[in-house]
Formats: sequence, structure tokens, C-alpha cells
Amino acid sequence: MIGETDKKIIRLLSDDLPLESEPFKGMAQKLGIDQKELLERIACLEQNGSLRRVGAALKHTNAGYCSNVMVVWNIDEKNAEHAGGFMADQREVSHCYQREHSEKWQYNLYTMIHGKSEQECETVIRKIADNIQHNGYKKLYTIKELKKTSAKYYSNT
Amino acid sequence: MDKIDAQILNLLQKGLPLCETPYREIANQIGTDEQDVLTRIKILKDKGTIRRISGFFNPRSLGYTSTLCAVNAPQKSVESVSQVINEYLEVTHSYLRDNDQFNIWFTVIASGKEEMDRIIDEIERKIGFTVQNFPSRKFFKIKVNFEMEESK
Repeated sequence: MIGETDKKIIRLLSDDLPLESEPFKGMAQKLGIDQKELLERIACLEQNGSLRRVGAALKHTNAGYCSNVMVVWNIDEKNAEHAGGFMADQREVSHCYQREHSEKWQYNLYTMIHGKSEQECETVIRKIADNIQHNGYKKLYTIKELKKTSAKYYSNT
Repeated sequence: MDKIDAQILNLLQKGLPLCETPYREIANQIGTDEQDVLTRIKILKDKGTIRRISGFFNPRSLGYTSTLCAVNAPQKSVESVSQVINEYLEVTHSYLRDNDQFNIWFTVIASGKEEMDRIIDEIERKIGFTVQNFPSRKFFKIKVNFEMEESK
């Protein structure tokens, strides 16, 4: 169970931190606890796996990674574990999930691939395709980012 | 981008040191001072290279559930459909993709399965197109680090 103070921390920590020498100071004041306790609580959330990290999210297109493609793969259930592992091992693959599929959409493995050029993405896709057992795949290049925000957890606490 | 900017970006993506003065710590690691680090981050934010510096959570361990959905919207409806979808706070990412079966893809994070189903049904009703839900069965990787290098 996550306590009320931790819920408030999670909510506040989801927003952009103020860019100042002591970025956690204002948050501690808001919560009415001292910075030491706040930092200990954040470290706890990280240790128990609730918090992945406190860090920077880059806009990858501005960071030189201008080619982004979601590739969906049709993989037999028995090969999914191996294929997913191989995909996850590729540096250019940022996300890899196995998902439910449907009659009309038989793709069950999803990879997000980022490269400095379309060619870089294509090379990784070919490398994956050559090294796993699959029944086809589809490349869905990003045409436009329509929305990208952080999740709002416990927004009513 | 110079070497110090690249180092800062790489360290910031790994995670801020959890101490009272994390930027001083980063400055010490790369051999500059705190003010320089803060100034450089400010510029990188203004340029849009850094979106934000914040906590990133694992929805499942917070009792939330997340999924990926897809819609096939005709070209002329893309804008109105995405407007409806993007209004939801629970929709965190949304992309227009190059595909003839499904062109709008979005992620939803909700505080439980019922809430998730309610949101998806509501979106479906409002846009008048079927929303395909592809919940995840197994997670292999999530990595959001983009390795930065000095560039000429």
C-alpha cells in the first residue's frame, strides 16, 4: 500500500523539477517534511520499483534521433520469449512488449526503434528479422507526434 | 553539442543523484561547476532538447494499468479524432503513424481496469470509430536513454 505522503510525492515528482541548486527543497516545504526525509522516501520508491528514476526526458528528434519507427512482429507463441529477448538486446530498441493480438491484426510483438537516420533504423530491423523466427512484420513510421505528456498519478489526492 | 553538454545529458538521463544538491554532484563528476551545469541545462531546455526533469514511475507498481490503443481514422478526420483522444489526461502519448490499417496510436494509463474500459468506450462513442485495445502480456524492455555524443 502506498501512503498518503508518498502519493503526494509521486504526484509532485511527476512534474518538471525547478531548475535550481536545491530542486527538492520546495517540494519538501510543500509536504511539510525536511529534505532528508523526502530524499529517503524517494530512494525507497526507487528501491521498491515504483520509481524508475528521477531524470531527464529528451525530445529525441531534437537530440539527433530523428527517425522513429514502431515495428510490429507476428511471432509464434513458442518463439516469443527468444525473439523478445533478442529485440530487447538491441541498443536502438527503446521499448519491447508482447501484446494481445486480434484476427485482423496478428502482430504480437512491438518494438520502438530510434535512429539517427532511417537507414540506421532499417539496419536494426533487418538484423532482428534475420535473427528471429517470424511470420511477417510491419513498419509504422512516426508521421507526427500528437501528444506526449507525463502520466498524472493520484491527481485528486 | 560539445562534450560537456553530451556528458550532462547522459548523466541526467541515467538519473539525478538523490541528494540536496544534485547538480553540484553532476558538476563534480564532469569537472565543472554547479552554475555552469545549471546554465547549460537551462539552454538545453529552452532549445527543446530536454523536455523535462522529473520522476518516471512504473504504473503497474502504483496500481495503475496501461495499454496501447489504435484507431483507423480517415485522413480528413485525423485532426478531430486526435483532438478528442488528446483531451484525456489518461492519454499520455499519441502518434500519427504510416499504416493503412491503424493510423492513430495512443497509450492510456488509468487507475484500474474498469476505468480503462470506461475511457476507451467513451472515446469510441465520441469519435465514432472502433478503438482497438492491445494490452501488454509481457514486458521485455523499456529504456529511455539516448546516448549523446559530442558533435562538430
